[in-house]
Amino acid sequence: MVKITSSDNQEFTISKEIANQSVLIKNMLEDVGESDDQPIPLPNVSGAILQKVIEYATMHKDDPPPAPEDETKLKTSEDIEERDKEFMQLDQGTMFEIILAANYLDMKNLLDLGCKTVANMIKGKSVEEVRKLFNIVNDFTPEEEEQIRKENEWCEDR
Amino acid sequence: MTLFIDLPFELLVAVLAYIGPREALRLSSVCSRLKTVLYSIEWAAETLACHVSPHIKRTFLLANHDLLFLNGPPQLQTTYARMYLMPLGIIVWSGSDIGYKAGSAALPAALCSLTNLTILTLSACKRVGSIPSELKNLKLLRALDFSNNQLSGLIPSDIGSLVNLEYLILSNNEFEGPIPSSLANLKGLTKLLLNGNKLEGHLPEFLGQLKSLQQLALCGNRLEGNIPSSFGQLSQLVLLDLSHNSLSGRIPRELKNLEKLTSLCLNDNHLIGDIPVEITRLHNLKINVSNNLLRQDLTSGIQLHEALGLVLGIVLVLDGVFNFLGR
Repeated sequence: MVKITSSDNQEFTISKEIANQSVLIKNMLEDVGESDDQPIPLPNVSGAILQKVIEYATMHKDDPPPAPEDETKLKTSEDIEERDKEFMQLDQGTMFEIILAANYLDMKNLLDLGCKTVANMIKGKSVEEVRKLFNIVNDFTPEEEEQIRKENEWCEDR
Repeated sequence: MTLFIDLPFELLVAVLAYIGPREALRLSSVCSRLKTVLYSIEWAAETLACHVSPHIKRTFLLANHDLLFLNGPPQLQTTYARMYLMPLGIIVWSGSDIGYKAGSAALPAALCSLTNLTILTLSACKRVGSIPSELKNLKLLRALDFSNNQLSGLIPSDIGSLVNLEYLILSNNEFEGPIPSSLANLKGLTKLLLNGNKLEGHLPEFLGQLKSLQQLALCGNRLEGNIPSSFGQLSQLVLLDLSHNSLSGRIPRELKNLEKLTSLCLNDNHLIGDIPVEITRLHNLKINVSNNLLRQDLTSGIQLHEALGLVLGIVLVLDGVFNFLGR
């Protein structure tokens, strides 16, 4: 078993196969050696988020090892498993925290899942709708905005 | 609370790469941070990897995704050129192929990095602005065709360093200024079509040294002065169209040496004098000299024909001193 602690000092004890899904923790374990039972500090991740990440890792602990990347296959956000879709039904703040944690912990599958989920939220939305969705303040002057819109006018022509 | 826009740059790249490149670029006007991401080389590489396979079986013809190269931000153009276009020896893109309706844009600067090209055609692709002088990097070019765009400025003299050129076609643009003297280096030119521009100055003498020329069209410009007698040395010439300029002086007798000529269009200029009778004896030659200030008698048996591509109801009216053509 492996012990990890969150930024707010919550301690979690997890199995090694779950811990190894994070390349960051896996490398740390290899560095410190088997015998050390000191908890691994994860100062960038809060307890609440770590809880969700462990939940995801537990759900995927029996997954077959990933197939080698097929260079000819294009990446798509349309291939999300049903159980992952359910897992990502979160408020935006938590979702982005999980993406940040997955990036920090080096968990490729979770990071991809997060990015795909956000991409799917954006797809089909207008500029105004995207601003509203993510609380984005338009920091362009009307002239700048018009200029950029013009530069990309060709994109509308499908 | 963490906001979408607070995600680090590389994660915004990862998210926006999953959205189709054209749909994503539309979102450039959301805010300056998204624009920075979408105009970055990182996003360009990532989105192309997601949406355009590097192993697409591509031809040299314009495909839908090539619009990313023609119209995308410079970083996308550079990446696209590197990923998909670099190996190509031939690009023949015509806007009409895919019903191209996009807005006007400059020639992609990244074109100048495609050093394997031997044939480059970007015709009717709504290109504006000038020809980048870095085009001289394309040393292997044998044919260059930018016809039917809205390109302007001078014809860059660097084109004269593309010594393998056989076809140079810049017809129907808005080029101005003189015909650059560097074109004298292009000894292999067989087709020089600069018609339908705003070129000015005298018809340069040196064109007569381009002895491989078979087609020379300079019609529909603002060229003036005499027709150089050196044109009589263009022994391979089949088509000579100098119509619709402001040329003056006499038709040089030396044109009689152009034994392969089948079409000679000198109409709509200010030429004076006679049509040299030796020219009229050339076999299979169609001549149009209408709308000049020529003196002519009809006995030499000249056949006046319509200019290439124009269908005119030709009625010859000669009043004995001036010629003009009634349509």
